[in-house]
Amino acid sequence: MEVKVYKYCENIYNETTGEKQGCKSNVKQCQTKGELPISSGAHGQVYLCDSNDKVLKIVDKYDDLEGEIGYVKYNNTKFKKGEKYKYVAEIFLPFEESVGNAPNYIVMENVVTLDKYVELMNKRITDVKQLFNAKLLLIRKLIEALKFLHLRIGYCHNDLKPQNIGIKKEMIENQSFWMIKFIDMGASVSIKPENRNKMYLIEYGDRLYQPTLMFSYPLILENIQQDYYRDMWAMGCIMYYIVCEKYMIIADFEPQIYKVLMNMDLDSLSYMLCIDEENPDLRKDSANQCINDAMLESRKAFNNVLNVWYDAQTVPFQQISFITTIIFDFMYRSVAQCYEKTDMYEELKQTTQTNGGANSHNNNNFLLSIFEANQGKQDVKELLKSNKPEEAIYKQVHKIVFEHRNKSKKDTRDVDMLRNIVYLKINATKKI
Amino acid sequence: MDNTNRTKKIYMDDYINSKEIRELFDEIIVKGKLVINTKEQFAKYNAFLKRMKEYVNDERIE
Repeated sequence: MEVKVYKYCENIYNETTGEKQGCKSNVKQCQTKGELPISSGAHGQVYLCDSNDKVLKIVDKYDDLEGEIGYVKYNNTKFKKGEKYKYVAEIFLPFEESVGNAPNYIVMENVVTLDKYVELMNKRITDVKQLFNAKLLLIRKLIEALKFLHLRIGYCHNDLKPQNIGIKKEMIENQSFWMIKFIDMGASVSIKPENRNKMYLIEYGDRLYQPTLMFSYPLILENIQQDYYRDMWAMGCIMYYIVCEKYMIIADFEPQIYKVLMNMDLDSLSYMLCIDEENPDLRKDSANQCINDAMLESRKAFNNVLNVWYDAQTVPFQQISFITTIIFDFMYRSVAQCYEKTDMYEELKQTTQTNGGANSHNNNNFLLSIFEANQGKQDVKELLKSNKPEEAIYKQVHKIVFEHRNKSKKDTRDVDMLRNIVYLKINATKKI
Repeated sequence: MDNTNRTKKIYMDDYINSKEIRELFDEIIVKGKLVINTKEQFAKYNAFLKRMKEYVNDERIE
């Protein structure tokens, strides 16, 4: 069996001064023996190494490690000892023997991923109250970890999903604790102070432009990035998964997820969280357009879990409400009804309209003519054949979306009012 | 719902499940992740996105 050795550095940057100190004395070795990868992503594979204490991520090209390398280099002087990797699995950069020969791997801490952890938790804990407590604790720790990453570290992950969250057991003074560790920082970026309250467009070719569909927020369909909202939406989906072991946004085939995300509104969100029952202020008809059979299954599972908790009598209502409220709170900001009314969205709209370029008007007309709603399928096919689109045209797509939105029937209900209705509905469960 | 609307609705699902869209998504979805490598894929993807927006807005109007 072929043994391969990958050299990596520990503490390549000085923890107190933040300076690159090299790694002549800290070179470690990570060995693989030709085993199969433990997981594989869009850009590479992950292997166990170093007595299963570390993992090795090998990518197709060095550029795919930009996110991880960026995090290692990120502002090392700002943090107290241990803070930077408190909630992020430690990343070790490769040892470069010669200049210009960039290695296409990194070494990371080995952790148990959240999906496996939740599966184990559901199998091992049979008592309703204990299982509820374990899930609630996990959710609280996740919120704490995300808050720390966003506000203390000043970084956003951008690709959160159960497979990218790790659980690590740590021994502190002979007591074992488990910690949340975010892994796969490939799409992560630092939150610049000017972007804290801002939306910006993601350019074609940007590494942020690679969302995992089931956990991506509706804004991604307009190529818009909001550093906090993106992770918060994903975290809402993850919390939903923790509760019922089913994904909230799911479909049999990927394009159907687009249909879901485009139709997602506060009513559908409330429906998925089972908080809209018999509420005349929340319209059900729009929810039906959004939700497919697979999502109905998820909702059923979520509802069953809530019912089990309510029936058990041992679980406080307030704590059940806390979970539903927090999922709703994490997600509702990214729904079109809400973000369209924010100043940052307006600002972005203004900016893109003024930077339109000389040919943008013609391009819009061209696209609108292709996609007239009353055109037959064959006509559209013929048009697409004869006028093959070019990239320059599609840079204008988000503008057409803005325009089209303005033409269509807008939801004029007050977002804050709707949110309060949902909150009242959730809190009403306490009195039952 | 009248017949015209019903046809539109079937048309939308028909479009989503069509061979061209399936082929496009087989190319650009890698392990659940959207990975667009070529300009042609990008153009096709944006055309799909645009078309979906049209359909969704149509449904809302109905």
